[in-house]
Amino acid sequence: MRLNLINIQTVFISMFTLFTSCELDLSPVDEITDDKAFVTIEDLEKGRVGVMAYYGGFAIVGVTDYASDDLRYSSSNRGQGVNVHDWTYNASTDDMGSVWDGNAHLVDAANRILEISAQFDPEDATVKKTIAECLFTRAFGHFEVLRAYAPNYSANAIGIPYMKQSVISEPARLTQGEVYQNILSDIDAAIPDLDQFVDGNYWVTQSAAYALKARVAQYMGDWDMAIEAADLAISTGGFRLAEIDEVQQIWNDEVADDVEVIFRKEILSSRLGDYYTASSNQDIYFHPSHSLMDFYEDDDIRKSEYFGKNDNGQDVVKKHDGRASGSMNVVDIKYFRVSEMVLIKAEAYINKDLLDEAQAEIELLRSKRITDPDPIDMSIKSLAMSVLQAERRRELAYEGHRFIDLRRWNLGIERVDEDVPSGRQKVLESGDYRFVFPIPQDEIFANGNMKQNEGYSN
Amino acid sequence: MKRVIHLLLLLFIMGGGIINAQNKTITGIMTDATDGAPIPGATVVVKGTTVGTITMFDGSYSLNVPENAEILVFSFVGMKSQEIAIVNQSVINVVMETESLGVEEVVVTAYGTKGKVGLKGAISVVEAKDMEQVPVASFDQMLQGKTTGLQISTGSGQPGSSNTTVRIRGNGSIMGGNDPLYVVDGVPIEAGAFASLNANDFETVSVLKDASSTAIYGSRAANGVILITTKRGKEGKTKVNIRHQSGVSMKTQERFDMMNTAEKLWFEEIAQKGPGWELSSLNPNYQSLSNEARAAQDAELARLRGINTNWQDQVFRMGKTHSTEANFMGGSEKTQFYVSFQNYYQEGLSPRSDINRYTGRINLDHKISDKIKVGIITSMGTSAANKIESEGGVALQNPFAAVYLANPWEEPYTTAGDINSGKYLFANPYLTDEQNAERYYEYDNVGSNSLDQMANSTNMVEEIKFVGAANLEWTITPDLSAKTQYGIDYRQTLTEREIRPEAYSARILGDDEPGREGQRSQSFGRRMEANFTNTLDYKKVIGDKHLLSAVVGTEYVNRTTFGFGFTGYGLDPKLPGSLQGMTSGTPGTVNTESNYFIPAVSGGESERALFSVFSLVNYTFNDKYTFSGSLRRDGSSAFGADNKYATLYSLGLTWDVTRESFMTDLTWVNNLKFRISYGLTGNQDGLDDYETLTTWGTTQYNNQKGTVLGRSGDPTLKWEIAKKFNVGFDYNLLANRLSGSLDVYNDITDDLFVVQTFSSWAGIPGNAKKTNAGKVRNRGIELLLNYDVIKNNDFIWSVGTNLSYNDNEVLDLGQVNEFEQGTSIIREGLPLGSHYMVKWAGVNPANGNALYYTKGGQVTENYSADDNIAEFGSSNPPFTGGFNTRVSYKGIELSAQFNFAQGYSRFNNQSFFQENPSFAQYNMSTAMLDVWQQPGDVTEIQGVHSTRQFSSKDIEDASFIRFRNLMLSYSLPKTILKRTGIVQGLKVYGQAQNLFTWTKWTGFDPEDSNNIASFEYPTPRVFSVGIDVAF
Repeated sequence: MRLNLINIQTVFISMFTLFTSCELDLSPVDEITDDKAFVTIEDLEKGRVGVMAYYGGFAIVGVTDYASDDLRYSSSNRGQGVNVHDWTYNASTDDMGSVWDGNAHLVDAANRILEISAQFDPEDATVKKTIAECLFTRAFGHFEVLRAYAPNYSANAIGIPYMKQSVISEPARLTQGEVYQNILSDIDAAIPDLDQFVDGNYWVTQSAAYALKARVAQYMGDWDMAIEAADLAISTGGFRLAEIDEVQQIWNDEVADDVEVIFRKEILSSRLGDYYTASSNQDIYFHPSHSLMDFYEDDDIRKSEYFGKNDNGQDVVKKHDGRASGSMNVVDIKYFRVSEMVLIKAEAYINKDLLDEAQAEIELLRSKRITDPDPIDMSIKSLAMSVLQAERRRELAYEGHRFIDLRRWNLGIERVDEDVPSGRQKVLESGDYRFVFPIPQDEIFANGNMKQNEGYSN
Repeated sequence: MKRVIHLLLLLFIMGGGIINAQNKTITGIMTDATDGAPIPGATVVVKGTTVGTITMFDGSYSLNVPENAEILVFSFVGMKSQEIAIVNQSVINVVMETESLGVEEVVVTAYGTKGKVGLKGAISVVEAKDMEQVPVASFDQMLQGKTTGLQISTGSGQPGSSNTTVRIRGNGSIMGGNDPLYVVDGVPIEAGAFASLNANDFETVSVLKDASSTAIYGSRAANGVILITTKRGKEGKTKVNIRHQSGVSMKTQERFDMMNTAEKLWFEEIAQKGPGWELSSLNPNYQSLSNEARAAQDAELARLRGINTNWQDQVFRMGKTHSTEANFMGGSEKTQFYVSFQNYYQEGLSPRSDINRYTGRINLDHKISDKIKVGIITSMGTSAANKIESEGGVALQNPFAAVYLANPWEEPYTTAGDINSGKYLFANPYLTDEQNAERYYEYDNVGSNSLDQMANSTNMVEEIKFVGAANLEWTITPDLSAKTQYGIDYRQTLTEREIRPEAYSARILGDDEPGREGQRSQSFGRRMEANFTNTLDYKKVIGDKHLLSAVVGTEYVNRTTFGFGFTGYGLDPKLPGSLQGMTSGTPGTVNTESNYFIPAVSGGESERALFSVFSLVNYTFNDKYTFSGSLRRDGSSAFGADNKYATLYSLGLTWDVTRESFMTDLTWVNNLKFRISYGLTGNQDGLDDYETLTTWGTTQYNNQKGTVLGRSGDPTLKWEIAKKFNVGFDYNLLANRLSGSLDVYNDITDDLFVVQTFSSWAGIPGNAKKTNAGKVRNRGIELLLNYDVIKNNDFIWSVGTNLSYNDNEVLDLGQVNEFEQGTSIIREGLPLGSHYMVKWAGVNPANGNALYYTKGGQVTENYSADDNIAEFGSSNPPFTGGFNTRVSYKGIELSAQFNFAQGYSRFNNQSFFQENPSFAQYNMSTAMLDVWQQPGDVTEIQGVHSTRQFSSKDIEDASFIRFRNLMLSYSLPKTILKRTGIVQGLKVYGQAQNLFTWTKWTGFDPEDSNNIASFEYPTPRVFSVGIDVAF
């Protein structure tokens, strides 16, 4: 009996201790745990690819278009973008928050991979390239937020947070001077280790970085930097403007790699064009505005490439309606194009009172878009500026520039009557607070240090 | 002492020892069913005579009986008397069972040897007889209204549906899950998956409610525990039971009416929508029509008027139910068995809605030696269920929505006899296409399209479920035993869904839609939970006054889930139901378009483990005071690395008041026990298996593989905690005729999961994580009462009731004070499930506009969600319970059971559709006949011009009393049965389920598993008859 008891005790004591610790550390099969995700350089490479997956950019196009004078409300609209179009948005309007949220996540994705890169050999080419791309991405993401959520450039004006690491925090808004400084220093740090040219422009290159720098300089009004960066953006990759007969190919994603498109994201299933016309049932949410359609000369290739008609003869936005074959509205999003660089240079020259140089740039662009362009008059600065503004509107329509450009130029919006069906709004005065997007309510709620933009209540 | 009394008694009965007559000697042994021990000093008497004896020290007896003696009566104090027919037997061994008068404590065992170390505390037990042959496929529904503290509501009448919520003492968790833990014979089983279990196999169902009874289950016990034991074999002659039941299911009556054709066409005119308006002579377009065109239009309107489809006849049916079962129970001294087999078939109220189930069980107990016992329980079930389209959804394919929303002027079948799927569109032959297009719009044939979808699609779930365990018990010393058990709960499902290419819903799809030529989806799921427990238990009487019992043990639980599935497209019309019917997908190239038939595949797996060490100690002093305590330490793979182990405990005291000397004079008090307990239990349901880990997933960009952040885990996440306090009494009074219990409790659940949101710049997917920060209180009172109004040999009338009141309040939500959840709000100070809505203020008689109250109480015509208020109660009933009564006279028994839920309200989302002119293309409730039409109309239905909004008008009192079950049975007298020689028992019965419901609710069923009525599958009324034969 005694022996039995001892045996029993032994058995039970061993059972008590049998499973204690190791069995409770289970790892998922369908997910990669933190410790296993980045072990080799190849893993880091996958992290770099993963950052690209975070690139968005649809919202800044769609939402700023809704708010601009380039679209006309459609009777088949069931509420899509109406708050934005009527400028009745506030901090809780979902459409206004996605630029903020999407780009903040893009920035964080880049920061995470930057931190992981630090575990690898800093001299390794892949590591260097990964770091460079992430720095670019960080600058790009911050600048997208800055464009939409900060007022016009002024070094001491309120900016946005600038995240240099992935951390759970409640970041406060820096001054714009600090934000721009950070953006530029990230771009400059990135450039040396970026690829010069990549097939398809689907990845970050030096050209993309210069293009971003040119755009940043344009917003800052640093015109020398803008010209220099724009030139480098074009020359580094050996890019040129599309010819008239190539314009259609740009929007069908068929154009040669060195033509027009400096940086884009490959899109396989999401639908940028759904902002204007629903691919599911062809319901039109917004037509192109008459004021924009009437703004082109008849022999302007852009008129037939940007606008079209549906089966019922209604006007539709055609620019992002999809490739030649494949699903409707599925098309790459282009972040930087050569024509934007040309227009940045033209705007810089005007501001530097180099009107002839400006005119040369604009005429170059017009010659690649219009069979027989009308003459333009840029003899004095104010005329030159309105020519530039008109051409920028024509060329870059539906690419997320118009609404922000109007603010940059201190202009307001006055929609023409035929673009204003009953019940819709017509005028947004220049300088109105609504030209600056509201900081999303969710951010204000979760971040005690976040300050709302002027004019919006919380 | 007992024995002496017995002996004296016997002598008395026998009138001083006229032990008479030879003829025949019968011998045997009398043993105790609980431990098999011999019973000395018990009485054996020939019925109706004074011939008898008492058993010897070893339980044996020997009795000479007259030749004509028929029945022996065996009796012993505290045991059930037995009458056994002699029929040519000379050896009659008798196993005596403890007489259950309510005084005897039912020992509910969590771990260890059955009956040895019992759980103390607030436990209510539902006996097998209350659950047998209830014609529902899922056992949780059988518990409705049966006992206190247990609230069960069913959201679907689909046979075998798992859409039932089971709550023990209210909702303690906000987002962590509120299902109790279910344990069958020591094996934890999956909540809400009972369709393939046969509840007729269950012996008892114990509902454990307070800390003292549940804390031994540690971090899984916060929502209470439901312990089930299944039937075991008994030594003796093999008993065979054959049972059959057949019945029909019928729809209950909804408390609203839909319009007929005349009413609907009239309303369409008022609403200026639909053919009733387009074809009306009041329509301004009518004036511009030619005479021929008018005639054609009038003729069409007349044709529609001539149709009056009753969609209920098209959709509902009377469903059949059959259940057939055989079970065998018996065994020898060494081996006992219980074997059962059942087929259960039940049809629902709609075609293509049924369940067909086969279940089998083998329970075996075997003594290897005096000290070592092995046992096996196995239950295997397989069920195949056909389900309707879009069950419980606000969707036109849901037949229980279409039946109300289909227009009465729609014909279900064409003249050729085909289903009239498609759209209604009138074309006036005297108008051009363009003119027709301007005047007449098309409308979905809602009813026919639903019939079409039901006819041309399938939705089937096949399930295999196995619950089994093997155990070994070793009685090391009379006081100490060890037990080891390995158990498995296994379930696999195969789901099959096909939409035929002929289906209207497929035919209308565009050329780039994969489903345009039909689609077939199949998915396989498997869930397996293994558990391994090892326990030592000890029970010893020390001296005269001390009883110590304890169990210590370990438990390891491992759960894996696995599944995969696919959807294929382009079905061959000639190969219905075949995997060969799918077309392979071709991707597009630069020059060719994809056929869009590329199949979609999916799959995944997950695992979690739990390891625990636990102990339970009971100490009783002088039979009066019992102290019980439990302690458990749970380590779970799902807990965060910083909080890997939960330590949970309970303390309790039971005081047997009746044993106090001051009670001896109160003879009407047979039993009075006072209980008090406090303890901590946990809830780990809210944690996903890998939620505390930061993980990465894969993506693809530009033909390269990428890695992206999948989840930002929080290593501090842990179990939710419940602090439970309970005080109660168990009582038996008036010669045990009045019995029951009374409990008061205060449960505070803390560290509840709530969502914490983060700045977008933190990059956390969804900007939110769960965190342990919420706090909820449930406090309440429960009364259980059974009373035998009349109790004599032939006639028994008993009544019983169980009443539960639960007060629920959110105490803390962490980062916020409130958050909205659909049409409800979770707000500190309010109960969970509080409705949050704009308050309805009626209709302005002057202009027909809807009126609402602002937050400040002003009446306004402007609807704004900013005016939502939370003054409309909660969707969780505070007051629930049941009543039952049973009358039996000789073999006839009549019983009735009612249950109720009181003081709660639900959001009737159906009336938003049925009473809304914006949906006038669908049929409307007759309530809309009262629509405001002209100034001065006083009505609750706003004018058609005024937009219908969600408001408090749609929140209705859902309190109800339901006549749940009525049963009449007749058991043939033993004297008749005896003549047959084989049949031991025969019972015939008829019963009705869900007979009647008293409620103010205007939907179809006030009872639901959630807060919103959305065209759910109504619970049917079931009538059935059955027969039980025992051999």
